[in-house]
Amino acid sequence: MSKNSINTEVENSASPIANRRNFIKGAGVALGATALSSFASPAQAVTAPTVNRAANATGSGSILDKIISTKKIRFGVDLTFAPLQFKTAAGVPTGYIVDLAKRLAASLGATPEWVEIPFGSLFAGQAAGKFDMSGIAATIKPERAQVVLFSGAPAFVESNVVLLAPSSTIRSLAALNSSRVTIAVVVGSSQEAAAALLYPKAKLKRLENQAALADVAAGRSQAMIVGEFEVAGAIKANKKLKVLKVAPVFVDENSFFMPAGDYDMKNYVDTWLRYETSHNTLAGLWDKYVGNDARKLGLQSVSVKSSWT
Amino acid sequence: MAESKPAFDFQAIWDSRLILLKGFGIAMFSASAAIVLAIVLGLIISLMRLSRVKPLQYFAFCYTQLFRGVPLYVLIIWVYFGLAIVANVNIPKIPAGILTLALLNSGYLSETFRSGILAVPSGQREAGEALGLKRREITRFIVLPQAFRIVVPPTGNQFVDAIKDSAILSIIGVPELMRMAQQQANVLYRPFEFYTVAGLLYLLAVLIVSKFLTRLEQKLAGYSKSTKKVKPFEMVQDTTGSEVVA
Repeated sequence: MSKNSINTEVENSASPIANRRNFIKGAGVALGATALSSFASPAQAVTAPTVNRAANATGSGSILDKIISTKKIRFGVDLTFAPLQFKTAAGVPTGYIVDLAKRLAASLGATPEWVEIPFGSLFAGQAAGKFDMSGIAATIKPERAQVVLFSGAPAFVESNVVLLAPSSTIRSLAALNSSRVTIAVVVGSSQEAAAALLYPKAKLKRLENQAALADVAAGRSQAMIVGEFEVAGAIKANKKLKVLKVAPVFVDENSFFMPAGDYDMKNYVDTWLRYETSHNTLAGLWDKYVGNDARKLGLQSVSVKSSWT
Repeated sequence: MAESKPAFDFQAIWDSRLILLKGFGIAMFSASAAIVLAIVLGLIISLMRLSRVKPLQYFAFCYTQLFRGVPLYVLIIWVYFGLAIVANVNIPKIPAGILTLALLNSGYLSETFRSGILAVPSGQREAGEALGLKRREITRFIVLPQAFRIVVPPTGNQFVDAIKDSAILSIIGVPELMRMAQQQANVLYRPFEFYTVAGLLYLLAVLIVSKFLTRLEQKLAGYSKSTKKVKPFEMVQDTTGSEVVA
């Protein structure tokens, strides 16, 4: 009798060995499913809007009602992007967008709580209900809008400019589109996506933010595309870096986001942002934290202002 | 011409020392709590694996393979975000980080403990049986104390790994040392200084743990530095001048 035929007989019978094998198979399937779900969950958090609605911090109700009744608002933030959002030496959250978030909380009579999550995990954090809404602004991208609900009014517009290596001889944006040019970009950023489209001949070096800055400062990359808000700090730390003084490469609109489907909250944030824009609150804060420093470096810096004035 | 900053500016580190030390404390607390939990879980799983009850054996096998096989990065995303999305279990970030590290390390420690228990000579178990002890008593009073000495060094190595692995908790925003270094490096544009100091602090923690474990191993081995080493045979001269064995 062959080994195979023995196995067949054993498996066909209801013996303990067959049960054991079935158990192993079952356990294997369960283990596989668990492992798959562990891999799939973060991805689903990014791609499946239905999951996000189900995981809304308050279930089916709007977070607006919850904030008003509890007088607390939990903001999801990454406080590592000075001068937009950072901490003082005493550990107090501050910066352009943090000041705006504080004012938003105050308008609702709520006390802000800061839930710190790295930027890359903020959208998964919103889906998982780790906070009520973002306390920082993110670039409004269609794929992000599949998982969260962006405010329709911009909290700031981000002009993207070019930082140059100390020895760089680049004088125009057109010169960036060359096979001899290496451009450092932050991995996963809108700058990365734009650089690939705008400068197809250039080599792109995809790095983390600080690594990209260091790469340009060391001359390994000839240029880096960055948001204007970062330029003053980068040059202060690396005085040999230069700015390409031309029009911005492109401009991104950034705003707060909240759980997908929560249109009550979106309506409130839209209205509040429009009101504060018309009263020049956003423009004043922008100049205080970003605009004045950027203009000193010869950069175009546009604040969010009412179009009626 | 504007004066440029020095290549290494450690003043920024000094100014951020309290933030870094707080992060260091959270990293050490997370790793220590995780390893304690991992030891408990690992011991339970290893005993289940050695049990005569087949379902317990299978469960322990699956547990070990799962938590040894899934990368820490995936595991932490699953525990912190996945459980909240799928099961509405919203664990705060520090407990989630500790639980994740504990699950991962318990997978490794269960195998360490199992091999430690199996390394105890079978004669010890037989001696216990000859004395009329029950299986549970043999395990508790004879096997586990001897296995404990065997597993101390690999458990210590696992603790060292847990300390370094705690850096990955930064991805869910746990304010441990790496996250604090990252935050300060981004805000002050001094990545080399902050990451170098973070590395040195991890190294310091590992050295302290290693020293403690060496002492523990010596104590368990009954070794004492104060004990004078005596040669088994010493040649001395008697009154006639001829050498004799003392």
